[in-house]
Amino acid sequence: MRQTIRAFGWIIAILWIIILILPVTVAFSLMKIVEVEGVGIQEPRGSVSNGNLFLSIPFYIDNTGFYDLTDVEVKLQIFMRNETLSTSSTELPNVPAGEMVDSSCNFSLSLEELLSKNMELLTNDTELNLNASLRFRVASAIAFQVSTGSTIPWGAPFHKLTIYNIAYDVVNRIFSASLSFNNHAFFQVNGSLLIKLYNSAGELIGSSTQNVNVPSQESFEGSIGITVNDPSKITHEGVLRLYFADIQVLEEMWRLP
Amino acid sequence: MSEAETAGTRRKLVFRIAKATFITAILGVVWLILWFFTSMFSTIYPQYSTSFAILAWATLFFTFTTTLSEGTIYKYLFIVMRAFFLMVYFAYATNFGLLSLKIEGLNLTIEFMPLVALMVLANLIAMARGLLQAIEFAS
Repeated sequence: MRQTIRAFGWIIAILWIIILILPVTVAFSLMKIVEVEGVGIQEPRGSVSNGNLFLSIPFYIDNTGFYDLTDVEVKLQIFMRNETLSTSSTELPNVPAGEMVDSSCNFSLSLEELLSKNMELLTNDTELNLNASLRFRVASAIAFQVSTGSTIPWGAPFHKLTIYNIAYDVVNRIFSASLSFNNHAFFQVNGSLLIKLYNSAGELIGSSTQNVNVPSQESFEGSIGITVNDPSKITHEGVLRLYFADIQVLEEMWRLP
Repeated sequence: MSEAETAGTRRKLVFRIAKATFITAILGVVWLILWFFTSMFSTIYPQYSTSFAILAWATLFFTFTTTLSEGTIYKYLFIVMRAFFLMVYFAYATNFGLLSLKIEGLNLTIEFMPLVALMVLANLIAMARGLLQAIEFAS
């Protein structure tokens, strides 16, 4: 029994040495990385294509500490008034002790997903909350997560979207209107705008597509013409619905003069 | 019991109390020095001062009681109680190894569950050791 008690005493001592030494050396290791400015971020690059926003942030980590950095992950969360609009995360390569890694965080954000969650973003300029977090594990035992929040201005791609000059040509059965908006977004609005015309009974009486290609910070003005297939269904008022990339942008009542 | 024996027992008790008080006082000074070096943590982690005080007072109490009950089976009872307290304390005070701090607009979360697991393991072994010591003492 005495031998067991002694063995237990040694095990307890060894465990407490590990418990005390590990956090101290981990803290010292991280301080060494911070001291030599071992983490750096270069200028981010962004682009928009196929309805996706791509963001690439080049960075380097010079691990001058004693332990490997593993499970490195960067997460971006965009939310508006406590509602999460989009979450994107990227896993980065492990950084062994004494080595330097050059890499980049690549984020892909579906604009369709972002806009479908909050219709206001299509037509109203606002401020979005951005939460960025970096997570990594040191010595495979202690994980750190640093996160910070900030706000980013959001420019609406269909700001002040207006339909006016509504008319109906009885002879040619064409419903016409003018359309205008300002592209306040940081990306180009490029694609087709689908316009659906409904009568007062809620029946679809015609539709038309309009190709738009509006660079950032520019305005669009154009006219739309919708052929009404069955003139008997035309009423003096109804509803117009506008879709861009399968997302409903606008629903507005129309009334013939 | 004769008067001389009573006086001897009383003298022994006074000596034990004096010894326990002395050792506890030394440990108290150590905790005080430790507090001077680490008190700045309470600015970034407000619960630190409370957690520190609980740990310091509890270890002082157990040091006093184990020293006072030296040579009796109660010493091992206090050792087991101390190990049990520390096990619960480390799990509770560290939120099972998940701490969140706010430093100059940054939210820092530290996960150290493996370390807490080692602390719990060390205290479980300490409890087992205390029980074995009590059995050996009684036999």
